[in-house]
Amino acid sequence: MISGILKDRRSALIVLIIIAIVAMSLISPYFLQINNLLTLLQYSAVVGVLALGQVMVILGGGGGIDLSIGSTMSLSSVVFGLAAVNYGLSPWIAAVIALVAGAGFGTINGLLITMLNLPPLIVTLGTMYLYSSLAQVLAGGVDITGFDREGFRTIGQMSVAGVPFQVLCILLPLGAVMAFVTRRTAFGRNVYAVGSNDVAARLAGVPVTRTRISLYAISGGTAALGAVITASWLLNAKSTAGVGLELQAITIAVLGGAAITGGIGRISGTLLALVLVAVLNNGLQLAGVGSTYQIGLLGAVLIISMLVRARGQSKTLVA
Amino acid sequence: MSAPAMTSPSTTPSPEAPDPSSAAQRDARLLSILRWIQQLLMPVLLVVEVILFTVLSPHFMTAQNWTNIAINSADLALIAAGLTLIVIMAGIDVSTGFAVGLIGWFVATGMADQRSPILVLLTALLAGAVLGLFNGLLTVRLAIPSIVATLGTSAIFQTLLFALWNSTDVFARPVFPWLSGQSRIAGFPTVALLVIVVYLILHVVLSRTVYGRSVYAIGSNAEAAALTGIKIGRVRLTAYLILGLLIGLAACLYSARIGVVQASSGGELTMLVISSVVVGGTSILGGEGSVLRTLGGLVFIAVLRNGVVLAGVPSLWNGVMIGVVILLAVGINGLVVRVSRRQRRSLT
Amino acid sequence: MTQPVLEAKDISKRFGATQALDGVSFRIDASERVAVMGENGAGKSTLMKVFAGVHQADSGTLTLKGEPFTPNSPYEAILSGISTVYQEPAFFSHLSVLENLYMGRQRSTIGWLNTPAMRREGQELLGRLALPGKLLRRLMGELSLAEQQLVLIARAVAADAQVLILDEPTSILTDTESERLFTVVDELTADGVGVCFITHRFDELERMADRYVVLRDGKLVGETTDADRDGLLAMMGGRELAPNAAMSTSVTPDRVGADSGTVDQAASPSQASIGSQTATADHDQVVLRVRGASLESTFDDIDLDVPAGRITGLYGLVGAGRTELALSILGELGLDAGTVEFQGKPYTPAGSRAALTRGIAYLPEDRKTQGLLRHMTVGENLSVAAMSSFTSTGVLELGKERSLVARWIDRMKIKTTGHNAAITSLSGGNQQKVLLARLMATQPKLLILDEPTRGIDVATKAEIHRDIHALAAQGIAVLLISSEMSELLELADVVHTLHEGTMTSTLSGAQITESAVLRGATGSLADAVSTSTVGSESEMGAIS
Repeated sequence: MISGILKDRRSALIVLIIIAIVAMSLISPYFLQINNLLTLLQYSAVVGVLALGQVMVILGGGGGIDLSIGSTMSLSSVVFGLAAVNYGLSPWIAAVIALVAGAGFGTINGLLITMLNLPPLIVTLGTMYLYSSLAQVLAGGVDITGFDREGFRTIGQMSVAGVPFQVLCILLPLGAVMAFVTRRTAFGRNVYAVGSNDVAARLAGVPVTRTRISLYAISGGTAALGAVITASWLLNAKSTAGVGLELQAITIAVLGGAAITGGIGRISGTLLALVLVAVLNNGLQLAGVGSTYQIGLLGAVLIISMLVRARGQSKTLVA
Repeated sequence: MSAPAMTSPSTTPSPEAPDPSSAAQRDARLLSILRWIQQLLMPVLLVVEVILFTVLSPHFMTAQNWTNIAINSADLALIAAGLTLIVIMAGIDVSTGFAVGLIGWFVATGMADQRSPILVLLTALLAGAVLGLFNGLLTVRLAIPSIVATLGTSAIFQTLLFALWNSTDVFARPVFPWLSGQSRIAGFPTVALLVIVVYLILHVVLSRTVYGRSVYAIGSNAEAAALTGIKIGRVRLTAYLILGLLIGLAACLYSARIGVVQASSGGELTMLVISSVVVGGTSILGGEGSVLRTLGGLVFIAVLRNGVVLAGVPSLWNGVMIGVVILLAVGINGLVVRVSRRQRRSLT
Repeated sequence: MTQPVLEAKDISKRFGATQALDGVSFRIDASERVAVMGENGAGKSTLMKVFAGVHQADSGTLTLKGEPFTPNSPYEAILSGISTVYQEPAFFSHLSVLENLYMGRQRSTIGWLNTPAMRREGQELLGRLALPGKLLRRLMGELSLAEQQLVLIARAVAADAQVLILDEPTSILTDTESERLFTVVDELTADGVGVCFITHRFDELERMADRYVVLRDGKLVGETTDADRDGLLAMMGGRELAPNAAMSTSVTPDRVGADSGTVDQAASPSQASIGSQTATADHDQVVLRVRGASLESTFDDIDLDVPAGRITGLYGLVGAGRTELALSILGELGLDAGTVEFQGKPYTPAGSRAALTRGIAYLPEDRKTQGLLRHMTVGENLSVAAMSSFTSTGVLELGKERSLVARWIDRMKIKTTGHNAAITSLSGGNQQKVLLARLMATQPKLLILDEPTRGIDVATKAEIHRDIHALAAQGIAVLLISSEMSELLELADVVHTLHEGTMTSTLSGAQITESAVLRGATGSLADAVSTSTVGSESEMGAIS
């Protein structure tokens, strides 16, 4: 029982989060103030949503990884901007169009990977170029501005009882839905089965191909969600909205305990990893350290967490 | 189907049974055609590309322009050569770009501080070796999947560069005159010759030495390689060391070419390097590939980036073309694997 | 008599619950050819792997040319002069034949390959096995299975070995190719090399070896220089045959067990016998009917009936095409020719998922790589194929799932702490029970069991056997693929034997004896029942 708890990546993350919070509040008296904690969440909403999509793809195994989510986010962002600004659609309809487009871009990845049996790393590397370049071409190389401020206030800038909309109404519900889907639905079972052993899953009647395609569609959809949040918040659609986010999303997913080989990992782990990263980032900011340090810290935490796993579970708490 | 008892199936084949070997023969033919396409794809694309840009722009087919292409992609070429070794062994490295940036800072700072060029060059090579071995240690000795390990080190290298940079751009100049784009040997850019020498050496190593054979063997079937007594760990570590040294050398070229080292210097190289290797036709699944193929992929991408600009196409389209070519190249690879698997009657 | 090159004393080796080798003493002299025989699972391959350094013996000693010899890795064994060609060989499919031949011991000067020398020697080497020299440049992965096998033999020969071990080298070779191999072996033994074969082929025994050693259940049970088939079969099977038993399949029109219908083996070839059996057995409705199933270079013109409430056995040596046949029925592998009927209706195999919905469930051969979802719980593993029974909207009704799982854990007497235990925490036997329950939870009409008790301890094995019996008694049609003789003898109502992709005999009731099954599976049925198997014999000729 005890060893089971120690083995679970999530208990290690909780301990780390507590340590980080204590350390940060010692460094800066502002850290524990409620306003600060809320901004802490706001900044991580987008990367959190992307990490949730990424973790699904990784769970599905077969070398599953989606390098293209940053670019998918950029491209969906442009689609969102064009729909909302150039075609003057309501923000909500534009958002739906962007989500469908994002899921479509993901499906293309999924089809290429499953139908042609191609390594996900390379397919999504190809579409990473393709989508980001298409985003630039569609947007003509400039930001799409001129969002009608009122309509987008809800999505991007409203807050409920001080909690930003994108956290309360997007990130948390999405996390909850995904946790439910992965643990309580036939689809979720299929995901773990496929990620654990795809040959065995196929022989047990699990639709391997269909499941994997869906995962890439979900990943594309979450990227589009990230685009909608960002664009509504900043009131412009950037054709470079998602640059660099793929690496952060992958890092958070892996840090949250998802095995890169598939079949192992929980959505709650991903969310905890997100909280840890957000706390560290925020603390470093308060301590007056630049944002790039956060990336380095993320990398270091990622490697250390892998080291702990590689060296056996008994020393989990050393991390 | 109640055939008479004494009928021998081998003497009177049932009429509805097709020739059992025809499907297999069709597959074999398809496979050889696909392999042929696989071989010819890159040369054909290169020729088409060159013809296209020659037609589209009068400035393309000039000695000056080709010199530019060669100089501007020399650093990329060196890293891609080293990465090829890693990829043949089914590994990957996504930290190369920021490694170049990080070492580039040392090079630029060293030159700015008037250190001896020899010392600067040695520092660059040493730093490259250290960073390469660090990646190697994480993936080989600590068994962290290479994609995860190098994602992590990439973030760390980026941050180290940021910390060293500390809001001050460092202006760089060539370490040695011969390491600059201006230098010529018999009219050829020296750096291009350097690249050619490196590729020749690595090609010979891969195809003519025991070490090279071991690299392919590990990529093809690591377990079988261990059975034949190949020291897998040592071979892989050596490959990371080679990649690291080449990154050190590339950093000298890079800082001289760009002229300044900033907070995110080098980052743009990572994916271009991987693309060159993959477009060239080295299989990400290991066992197959060569540095010459990488050179083909690299030339294709370098010419594309150059020609698109000259032809007046907005450079925004660059990525579309690179992306399509990557997908095309791996798509054919995938078909080959699929057909040959069907031939082997294998479930997996 | 020369001195022994390799001598093993009292070698024992245990894998979990299985005693693979039990005090085996064995020697190979210089210039001697020894054939090691025995049923599947008798310990032949394990013994060879102990020599080759793949496994380390738990107890006992090895001596090589009089020196103590303890290889800790295959590489050490090769260096010491023991060269092995495995049955399921490892090679480098992306690399050329030349590179495969010399991997690990290239001719080189300070790391620099001497390719011309290797090419010259390689050409010579291939020539000895009558392979064309131009093969050297081809990719290993592009060669036929037989060519690959010959290259690996050439590789082993080139190692300048003192002992050469060949595990079923001729099973995929043509007669000409085999003859070529024997000639090379003769040349090697003339030079003092000791050669050790594992083989099932009686027809080649005399050509192949000077001395025959028989293993059974991990023990060395006999040793002879007389290639008498019946004597060897008796040793392999473990009991002396009744005077007439060896001929019973052909000569004596057998009284058949009351529940298997009337079969006249002598008068009709195997295909027709199934027909007559099913025609007369009214309560044994045929659930699966396969006719003329062929898959190129895998199996050929297979007819098979699997009746409800019966256990139909399928026996064959490795590579006979048993598993491939099952996978083709599922639709996981293709089918070049032939028809399949399921429950009296034409059925086109379309993959495991479609098969399961129709009521065809398959227990895969390799539990670890094809059966277990290793990262998941016992409950999740058990219920994965039957999820539709506890969800209608896609949301799982966990209560229903729990009771389903609990019911099966109870029914199959699976030893586990329960639903949430990790599947990897169970013993192999209990894992297998979970997989069996996984299939049963889908309420199949036809159960295809591929090696259901491989590597499982004796007690659990008996339980699984009881389960299989009970399932058949409920009216489920069971197709039992097994390479374990005792399992088939105990369970099967009818046994079909496959040899190199061809069905060589169909035995039922009292006909099912060890020697009869072995004859069929080793393809040595031909002379025993020559009158009745003209068709299948000529087919075998066509394949091999």
